Amino acid sequence: MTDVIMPQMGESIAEGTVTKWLKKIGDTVKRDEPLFEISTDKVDAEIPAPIAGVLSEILVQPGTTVEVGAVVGRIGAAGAVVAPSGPSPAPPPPAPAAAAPTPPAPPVPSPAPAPPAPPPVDTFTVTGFVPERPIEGMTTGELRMARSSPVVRKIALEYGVDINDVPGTGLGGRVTREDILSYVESRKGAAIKRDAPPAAYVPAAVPPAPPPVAAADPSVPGTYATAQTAKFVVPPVAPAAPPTPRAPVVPPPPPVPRVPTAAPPPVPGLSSTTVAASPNPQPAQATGGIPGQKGSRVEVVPMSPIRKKTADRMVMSKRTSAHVSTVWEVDMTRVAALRDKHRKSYEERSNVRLTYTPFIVKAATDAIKAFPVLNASVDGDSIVYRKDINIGMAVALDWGLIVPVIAAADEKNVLGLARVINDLGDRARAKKLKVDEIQGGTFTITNPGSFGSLFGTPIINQPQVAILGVGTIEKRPVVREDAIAIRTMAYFCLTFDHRIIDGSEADKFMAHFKNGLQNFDESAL
Amino acid sequence: MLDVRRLGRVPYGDGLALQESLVAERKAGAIPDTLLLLEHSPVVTLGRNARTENLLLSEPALRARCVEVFEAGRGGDVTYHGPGQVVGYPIIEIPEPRRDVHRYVRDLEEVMIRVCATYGFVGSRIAGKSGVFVGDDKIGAIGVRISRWVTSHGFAFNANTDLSGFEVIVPCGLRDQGVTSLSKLLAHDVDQTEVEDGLAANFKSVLGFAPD
Repeated sequence: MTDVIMPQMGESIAEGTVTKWLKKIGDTVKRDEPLFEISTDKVDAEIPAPIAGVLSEILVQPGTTVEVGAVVGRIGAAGAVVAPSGPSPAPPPPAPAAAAPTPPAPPVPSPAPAPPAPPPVDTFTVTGFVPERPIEGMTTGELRMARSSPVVRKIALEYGVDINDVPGTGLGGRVTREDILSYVESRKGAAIKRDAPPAAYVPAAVPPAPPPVAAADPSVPGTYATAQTAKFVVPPVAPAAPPTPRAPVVPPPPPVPRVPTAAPPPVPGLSSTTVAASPNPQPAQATGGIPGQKGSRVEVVPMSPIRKKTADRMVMSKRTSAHVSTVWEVDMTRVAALRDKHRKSYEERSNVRLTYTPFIVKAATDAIKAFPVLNASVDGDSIVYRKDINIGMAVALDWGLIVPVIAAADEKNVLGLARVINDLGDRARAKKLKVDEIQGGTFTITNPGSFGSLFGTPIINQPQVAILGVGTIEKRPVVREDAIAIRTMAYFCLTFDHRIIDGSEADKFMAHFKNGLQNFDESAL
Repeated sequence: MLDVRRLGRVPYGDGLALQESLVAERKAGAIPDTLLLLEHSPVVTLGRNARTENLLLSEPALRARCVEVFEAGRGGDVTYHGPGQVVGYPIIEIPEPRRDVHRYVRDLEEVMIRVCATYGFVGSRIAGKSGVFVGDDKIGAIGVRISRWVTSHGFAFNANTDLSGFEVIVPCGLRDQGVTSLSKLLAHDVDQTEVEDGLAANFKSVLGFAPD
């Protein structure tokens, strides 16, 4: 039995919706034969079968959205048809004993081809995803464990929380990190005495108990104020006051590297104690906590999965690479002239819009060929030089950022690049990109200039090691042969990973790139 | 001047016979320099340097698949021709100043490189190998015969070639490289007549013939 999983569709995509199954239960599928269709925010795609066999289970019905990595179905060995024969025309097995506050699992699609006999427990793989059906033979506790990710279980452990006590609000009733944290929060009133949570979750030094004001009893380490208490302390109306702590109500917590939850400026009248006493700076932030606690008018909006994923990836990249940026000014006058000269014939001959981008991609690709380390990535102590030059092209859309990839950019001339860039851009806007078109990038080009920026210092798109930001392209007065001339100019900012690229290498790359643009080879058009 | 003749689909044997007679006529000065443009029915041909291990099926097995097998009197190893591939057979007398076989081969490569460019692709040469590549994949093959500076055989350029035809051979004996075609690179078929036009026009400019 092989699990069919929701594939990773792109770096910033955390979930996908099954839109259609192309096979029925009992159908024979070939390896790589389209099995089901999915839709994500960014791409729609047909997903091929991972293996040949017989589709034996469909665990996720069309219209249902599941996380990446979720098991959506199973394929059995050819010949092993499961559905009709099994002892399971019986209705779905009864929910596990006293699955009491069973989370709001989507209703089991009852008319669906009788859910196959539940697999023996030992074949149930705990993947952090919950098949949307009861699982016989598992206790609620086991189910809960199955329904939480290892990270969540770890957090539960750290807080000494029994995961069974926590109502899950996540997908299919999963207990999420937020659930644990808000549970902890809600239990504070009960003044649960806990050993101090592990260091990672504690501000390095819990400020020597900032002046106790409300309920918290400073004598009891780790005693928390209740949410109720907090509410009382909050002034009813506290329009974001300037962060001028008047009286030293709160002495600036001296050696605290990370300010606890009280981060928002102490509002006069709000004893920061109630919040500051929390040993954990995260809950309120992560969950939005109780807005009132912050003492200011706020709106707390949970991040969308994409936002979260993007946030994670950005921070991960900053943590991973030694970011350094170098900015070069390039005279784009020749490129502008070539573009004007060929624009019409491109449109008439090939129906292709000729923008600056293909020129920039071409020059970058040529420079990469001369300095291949810019196209590399880091694997442990090794540098992996990638032979394919696949240029990711960041496209900002009103619903987010997507980076379609120009595959084998070095095999295309300006016409070929322009055609692909047009096509990828159009389909990105129409959300019609295919999965493999947003994967496999080896170098990224981003264009903050399209919004008017002179230059940005972009964050590297992991696991790549360099990203080129294009600034706005405009006419500027510059000195040429001791005279002031009007030239079409642009700043280009290369952010590179100093772990494997030295500044000299990066700047030689940029010099090559600049030369490629300033003396653009017309025969490449 | 160059006489360009478009022959449509031609069985390989007929093509060989036609070339032989044209070469004789060209040597005799009875015809002008000529470029034949055509496509072949499926066929595997073995050049003079062909090694049989580059033929992955036996000859009877190939014939059973309606693929002919020929030993062609040209240079090169094994290759495949089939529908969708534009084959060019220049029957020209190379003029005195250009009498360099390598130069002739480089010129044929240049013709195909320029055609690739008009479709947006960078065709390239790989040192030590004849033919034109896009990335690592071969898009155009070359196998020529020159007799008293009159040429025959020539080049084969994959426009819309069904590349599965190549599965029965190791093309040109190159195990590392795959094959590709314009239609594969573009993900749609191209107008084969347009490809022929491009090949003819670039052949003229590269080989020093007056344009039309």
